[in-house]
Amino acid sequence: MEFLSASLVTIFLPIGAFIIGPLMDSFGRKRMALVTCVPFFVSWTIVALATNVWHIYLARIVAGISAGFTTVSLIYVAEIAHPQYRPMLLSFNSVFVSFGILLTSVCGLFFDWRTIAVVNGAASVLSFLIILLIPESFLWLLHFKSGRSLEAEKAISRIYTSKVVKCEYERSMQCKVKGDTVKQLSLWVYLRRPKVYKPVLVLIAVFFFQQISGGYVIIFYAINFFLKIGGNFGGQIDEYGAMLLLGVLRFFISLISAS
Amino acid sequence: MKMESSKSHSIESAKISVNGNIDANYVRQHTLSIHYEDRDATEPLKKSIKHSDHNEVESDRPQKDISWKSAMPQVENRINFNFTPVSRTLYDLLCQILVSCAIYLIVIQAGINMSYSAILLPQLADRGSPIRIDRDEASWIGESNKLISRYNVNSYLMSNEWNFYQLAWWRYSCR
Repeated sequence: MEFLSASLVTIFLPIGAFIIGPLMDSFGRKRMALVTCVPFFVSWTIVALATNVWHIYLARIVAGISAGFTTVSLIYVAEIAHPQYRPMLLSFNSVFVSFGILLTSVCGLFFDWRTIAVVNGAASVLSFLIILLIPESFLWLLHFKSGRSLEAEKAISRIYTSKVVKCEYERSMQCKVKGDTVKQLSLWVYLRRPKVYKPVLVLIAVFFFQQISGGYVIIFYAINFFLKIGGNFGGQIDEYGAMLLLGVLRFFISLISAS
Repeated sequence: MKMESSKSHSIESAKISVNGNIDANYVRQHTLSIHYEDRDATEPLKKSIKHSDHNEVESDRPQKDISWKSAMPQVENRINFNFTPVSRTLYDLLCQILVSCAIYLIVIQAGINMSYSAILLPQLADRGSPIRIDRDEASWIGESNKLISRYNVNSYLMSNEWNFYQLAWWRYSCR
């Protein structure tokens, strides 16, 4: 049954990802990003106070759902970024995922699992406070809320310098017109277009091979993996050290591939 | 559609009035706004006017567009002032990076959750741990090992400890 605490996150992640779509359309990107921090904090609290294996399973379910919620950050970045910088800013996503993995491996070197849960709970509170400072996505304000264009302009002026604000506003308005025409078509008509189905197929293939290549299995079971390999890894390095090296390697490679 | 036409007019008027007095700031503003509309943003706008499913082929045909590439050199040649097409400063980029780093903090949490089980599992399986995932005594893996010896099956079926996972494992191991 021990495999459950690893796979419950991945089992419940798609559920969170499905729920977050309509939620962030109706409540806003920033607000949902704030909401995402709450279940993370709850799950770390449960782990920190756990007296039973089932507490840990429950915490992993909550964490899985909120891990699905993190899709909102991608949408937010895609909306606030200028088209020229958008690919770069979006590829930061994998950098930050591997930074989280690196962070856990660093913590694993010094603390046991309960202390790590406390540290991560504090980190989720900190990220809640930092996300409070950022402005709401102006594209969302223009698209989904009528009569909030003034607020949208303020949101733009918090990210862009005053010279560019007008241009960005016009660009967002153009996107609005574009979005309206897309909505009128049915999904099937939309999917039949080559410029829609081709990227979808390519992405499905990429993700299929990404998952089947087993990189994620090593992330989930890194310590077990190194224990099974056995032997010594040279010098003073134990399994946790090897996991740290793996995390560092992953982080820098993702940094290189992003830039 | 309207926006574009007004912009093209402004360019024309700028070109015409070059011989007279011209406000450099005026031209800068308008040329910049033209610089900002990229092809992706304008093309669907034109399409949306006459778009339906039947004339999809026609609408995909490249159309004449007024982009800064076609309009700017003329303005640049006529007016002798230092034109800077990049108005997005480093400050803009820095702001965008900062804001996206802030929102990516929740993605860090997702990464932490992914690798947390790697640390959690071996420590829970450890004998000294207060919460233990039992491998040998009551776990379903242990029970199913009993099951595989068919000898015990009947007595096991009559016991109260039957549950879904054990059933699933039994089915799996008997294949």
